[in-house]
Amino acid sequence: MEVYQSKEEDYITLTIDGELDASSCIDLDASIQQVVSENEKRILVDCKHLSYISSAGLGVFMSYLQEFGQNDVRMILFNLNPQVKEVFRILGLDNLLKIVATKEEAKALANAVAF
Amino acid sequence: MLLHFKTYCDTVNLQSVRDFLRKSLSDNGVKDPDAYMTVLAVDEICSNLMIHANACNEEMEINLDLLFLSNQLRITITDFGISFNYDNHMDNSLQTMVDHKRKGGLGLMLVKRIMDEVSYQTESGKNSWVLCKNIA
Repeated sequence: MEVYQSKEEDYITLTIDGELDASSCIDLDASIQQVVSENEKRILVDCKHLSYISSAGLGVFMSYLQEFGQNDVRMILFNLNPQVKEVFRILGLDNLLKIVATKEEAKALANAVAF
Repeated sequence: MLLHFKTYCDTVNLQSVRDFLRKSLSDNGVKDPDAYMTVLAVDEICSNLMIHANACNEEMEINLDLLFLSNQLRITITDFGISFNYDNHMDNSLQTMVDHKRKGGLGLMLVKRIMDEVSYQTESGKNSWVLCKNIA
């Protein structure tokens, strides 16, 4: 699993490539921590090449929810394949995290008045 | 048909567990989404055993047995690590986990929602999880 970063305008995109499990989730956590430490406030997560996610990966996203809510950091996931999306849905995490279909929707939500 | 796989308690081995399962399920006609979700459930149990029951001790082993019945897949996962009090285990609410910034605690919740039957027993130091999935 690899995580790539790209900076565009006022948001940063993290692109996850591969399988996110109890071994590789440490790398995702480190990437998110890094962009937070750089004071990024708009984080888009491209899941197009995320082929698999276990609870360890879900837990990484979940663990930032409170901090991001308090600090007005917006994290939006997009391009999830149906099976990965179903894993979020089974636990109800699709209601807690911001998940949209496309990057355009993610950018719009990142800049929306209401989040 | 009964298939067997042995792995050791290092989380880097989770990929080989998934590879074995995907091939075994495919070879025996189990299709997505049943296959995808079964792989996930076994991954969750194995990662819990590696990290929590065996403290990532690479010398400790985990054994998987897959039994393909006519309309059910039965997977037995055994180890000799620290036993788990399954009967007294209660899932936390998602909100509690969010409030405490917890990263863990979702795995067994997922397993119970994915599989049709989940059981656990420990006897003479040997711990056994049995996961069943009804296959259409």
